[in-house]
Amino acid sequence: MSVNLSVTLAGIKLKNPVMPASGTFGAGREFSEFFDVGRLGAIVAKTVTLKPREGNMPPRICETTSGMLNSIGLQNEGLEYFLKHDLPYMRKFKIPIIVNIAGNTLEEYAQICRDLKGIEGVSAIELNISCPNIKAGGIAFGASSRLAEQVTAAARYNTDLPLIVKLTPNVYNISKIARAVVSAGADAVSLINTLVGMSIDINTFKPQLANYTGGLSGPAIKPVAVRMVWEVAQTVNVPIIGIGGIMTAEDAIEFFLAGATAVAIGTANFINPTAMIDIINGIERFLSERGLTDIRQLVGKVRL
Amino acid sequence: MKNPYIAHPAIITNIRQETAETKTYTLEFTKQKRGLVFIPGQFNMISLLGFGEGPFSITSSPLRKEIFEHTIRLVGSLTGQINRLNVGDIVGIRGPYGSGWPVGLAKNKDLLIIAGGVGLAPLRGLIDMAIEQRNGFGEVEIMYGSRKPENLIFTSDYDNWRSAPNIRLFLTVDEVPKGIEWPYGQGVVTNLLKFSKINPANALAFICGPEIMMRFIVRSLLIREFAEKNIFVSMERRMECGMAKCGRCMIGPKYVCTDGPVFSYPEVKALPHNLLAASL
Repeated sequence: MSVNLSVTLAGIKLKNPVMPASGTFGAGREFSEFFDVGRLGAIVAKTVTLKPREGNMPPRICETTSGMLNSIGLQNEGLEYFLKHDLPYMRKFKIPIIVNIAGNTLEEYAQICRDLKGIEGVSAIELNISCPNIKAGGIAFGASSRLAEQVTAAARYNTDLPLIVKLTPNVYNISKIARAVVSAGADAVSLINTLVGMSIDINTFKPQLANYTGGLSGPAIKPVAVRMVWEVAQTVNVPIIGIGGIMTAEDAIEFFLAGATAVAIGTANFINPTAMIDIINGIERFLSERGLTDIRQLVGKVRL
Repeated sequence: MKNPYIAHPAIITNIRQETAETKTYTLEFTKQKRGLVFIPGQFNMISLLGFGEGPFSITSSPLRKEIFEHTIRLVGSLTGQINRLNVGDIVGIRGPYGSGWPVGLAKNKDLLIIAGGVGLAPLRGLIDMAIEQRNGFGEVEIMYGSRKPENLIFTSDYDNWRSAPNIRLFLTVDEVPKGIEWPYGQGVVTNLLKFSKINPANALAFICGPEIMMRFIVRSLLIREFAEKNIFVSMERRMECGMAKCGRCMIGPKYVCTDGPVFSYPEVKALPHNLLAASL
């Protein structure tokens, strides 16, 4: 019996619901040595900003119990370089490309959206309003429902592409933020970004990261992410991309049951470069073992 | 028989400045205990002794029975006097009058609410009702335009609307003054319709604004396959006496103040002398 893994997300057809989480996959160059990137449901590019960013001082990554802290600081070559070098490379994979963008001001988000207009191969825009590692913008936009709504609007009125807004878990009420971005026209939401954390080296008494704090990802945050996906699924009726500590197909299934239409894989890519392929195969196996024929039979089906 | 000409005194308990020219007045009857029972889209006659009487939309939610609100823009002598009133002052109220929005038909349907300028006034009660009874209605999309950001009314309500589930609010203005941060749209309200996601087959559209705006909105809705019978417009701008006497608001044989102000599109379409008329 064949299993249908395809889903529609904000109007984009994905052949399967698995994609990389922005910033863990670059433009796919490094991973293309390990597997056929074209097998993924979509490719999500690392956050691009209007101007190049150097990122934060190293060390920028450290391992924690069941997780990882990072404080990269949105290092990237800027939009112009991205359009010239990364996007054409990604087009080769012949799968939907989701461009993740960030800005310091509303106008920067609007500008990037305008610059992406009519560019071949861009299937959707994901707004990063939740990076905890940059000084201006970033998480400041994602932690206030009013600012989150405004930044979504700044993008919405400047693009006809499907708009995904990536939410931060570093808030008291994530559903409120989700409703605010949907009210401004978000077509989908992705959650969660990393949780702000800190780790200290007890031998040197110094923080492990030069930036002192960073974003926590990996299995440590999965239950938080599942809870938030479930909560948001109750209050908005746009599709959700579930993200947060997914290492295996079984982890991904939890997110589908909680209400995610698709999942994005981040930290797992650093441990096992073929993790996403294993997850796609695992989801297929999970469904067929249970006599299920369609991934949508899982979405939101948690029994309460 | 009750005398319909009796104006009931109501006290102003709160005044909120909406724009430079527009204020929202919260009112409470001083004698009647029953409050005001009305349908959103209906209006009251408000009178000030020595200055006259005029029709004004009720802008609060019908679920708030103890108080009601009116949102009034300063345009003439009566509204000029009303604009000078303070909390504690008394006005005369007769009403409610006119046809409201077809709330019964709207149950469990998606609502597409489109307004221009102060045209949002008669729709606010409907929006608040749909928010307070969130399970009684489907999705709510609000498309609202005005001349400049400073002319938008009910801005203090937007956060509340946006924090309700499955509400989308799109804004546009004709002109953004320099130095104002405006992440929303620029241009006519019709431009906002591209953001609509609701299925016209299970939705009603409610429109209020200048007739020329409503004409173009209706045209776009019909292209989007809204059925004519599912489109409703408020022609309230034409009203004067509110009691089918002065004739100022007449559209052909119909009085806006008693047959309307809310009409279905097929009704206004069949009438002559209005910008929504099929004959135009």
